[in-house]
Amino acid sequence: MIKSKTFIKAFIVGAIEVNNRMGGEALYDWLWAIGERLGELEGGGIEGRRSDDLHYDPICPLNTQIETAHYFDIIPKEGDSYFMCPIESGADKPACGDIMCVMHYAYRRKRGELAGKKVFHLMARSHLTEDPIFNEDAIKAAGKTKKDIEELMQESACIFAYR
Amino acid sequence: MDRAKASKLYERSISLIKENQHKKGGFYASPPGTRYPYVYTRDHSVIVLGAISAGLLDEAKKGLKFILDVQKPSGEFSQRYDVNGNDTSYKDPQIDGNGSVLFILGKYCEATDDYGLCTDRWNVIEKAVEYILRHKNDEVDLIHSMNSIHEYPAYEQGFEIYANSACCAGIFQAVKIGESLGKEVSRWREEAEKIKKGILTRLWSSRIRSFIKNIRIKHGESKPLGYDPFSSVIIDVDAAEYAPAYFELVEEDDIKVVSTVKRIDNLLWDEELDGLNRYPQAWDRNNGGYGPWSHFTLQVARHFIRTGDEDTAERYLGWCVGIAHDYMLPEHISTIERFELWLESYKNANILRDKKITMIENIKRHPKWNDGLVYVTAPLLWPHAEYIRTYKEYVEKFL
Repeated sequence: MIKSKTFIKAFIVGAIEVNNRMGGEALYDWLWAIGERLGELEGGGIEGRRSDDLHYDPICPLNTQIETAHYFDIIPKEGDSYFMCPIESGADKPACGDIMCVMHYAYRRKRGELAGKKVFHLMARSHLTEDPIFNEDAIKAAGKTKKDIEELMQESACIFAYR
Repeated sequence: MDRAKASKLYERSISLIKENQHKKGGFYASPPGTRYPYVYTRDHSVIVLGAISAGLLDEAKKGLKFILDVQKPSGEFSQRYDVNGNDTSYKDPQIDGNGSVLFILGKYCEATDDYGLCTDRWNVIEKAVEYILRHKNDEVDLIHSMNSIHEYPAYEQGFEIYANSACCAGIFQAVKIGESLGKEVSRWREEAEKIKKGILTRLWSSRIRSFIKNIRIKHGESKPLGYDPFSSVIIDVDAAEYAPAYFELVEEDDIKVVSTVKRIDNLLWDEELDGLNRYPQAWDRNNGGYGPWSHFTLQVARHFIRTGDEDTAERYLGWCVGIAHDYMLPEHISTIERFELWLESYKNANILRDKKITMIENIKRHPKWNDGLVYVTAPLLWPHAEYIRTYKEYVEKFL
């Protein structure tokens, strides 16, 4: 019987297959394109909770739905590896706590763009280790320092700014 | 009822609506600096109805322009927006918003005969109707929703009475608008008639003699519905079961409405605090403590006004006048004992979010706390809009 999470599992399997067959960059581009398309479908909008001039998600909405790490544990076969997020520098790139941050950032960026805003992704927590991953270029471009976001990090899975 | 206070509350309600319209047209659900400083589609729609009732037609038109211009590409209206029209929703779709927007647009046209907005934005109307119809299940001819008036998916996901009434009434208004503009809308009329029949048959219980709350269904496209993982029916009393009359699908003196309201009055009138609760305490999602809600009390008050039951109408309306503090109406009230019960349950369950902590601080700061009462979110604009509509009808009928 097809279960309610089968499509989510299929998405993860699809991502692993793209990674295996075409490599990390192709996966990155694929997820980015999905995020942008979803953003267009959804239309302009501002996401997350507001704290002064920053926005944040207390929990990662994709992590709760996708449970990437869990599926990766049960799906792998020989030769698979957990797809690492290619670290691309630049204020217009995601803070990559997980490869899914690429899709989420592209989605949020497109929605922000349609609402006349530029989005900077300052921090995301790794889905596997919960360590904070920073995008230092984005922090600088948003006019912030790591110290400025320290307090908010205690209650955030993801921090971003609209300018 | 304190007539002088009632009259002053009417005037204050009008000024609150004016003060809480942002220059871009959106109505704040509650004033900036309070709990809901956003434009919630559902609240905004009711406030537009209040503005129409108060004769604030320019404000109503501005409010309509705002909401019509922030429709999403899919045709959906979001749960909420910021004052600039950016979607800031944090909940799954609430399809009653689409019905509400179409309904208030129709009411504005009825009141003004001004169809300019509809001519300019006919594509918005079309997309709003088609979005609703994409969520219609042909097995029961009802609209599937994730959420509804209580924003409580565990209770409302499925074919829910308020969402269906709003959507059905919204399509009927779109049909009227379309016909006035010479558009071909016969398919919409047929679909709306089917939904209405669905409400009157599938969301009605002859044994309980009441409309019922919800046919719980997880996936709107499940076929057959009996195999859907949620398939069950919620027959508990709920103030939202008045929705078919609220949205003018059924006459107030229809026996279905009369007996539904009788059950609501019997089971939801609060014995300790008076006023109308929204649903039974057992559902236990009672932010700030279980207790009666201003806007549900005012909605149902209109039923008693329209059916000529002056005593009950005065009991309902008079309760709202009585609880208004400083001429401001809260979302709902509770007692400190019930508040503590709620607080303990949420604390123990570890679901007390930061926003709720702010709400608790505000509750304890409210002057009524010292009288042993809990006032949750005051003022809330929705009850003020309902108050305008209800008080006006009360005065016209009985004074």
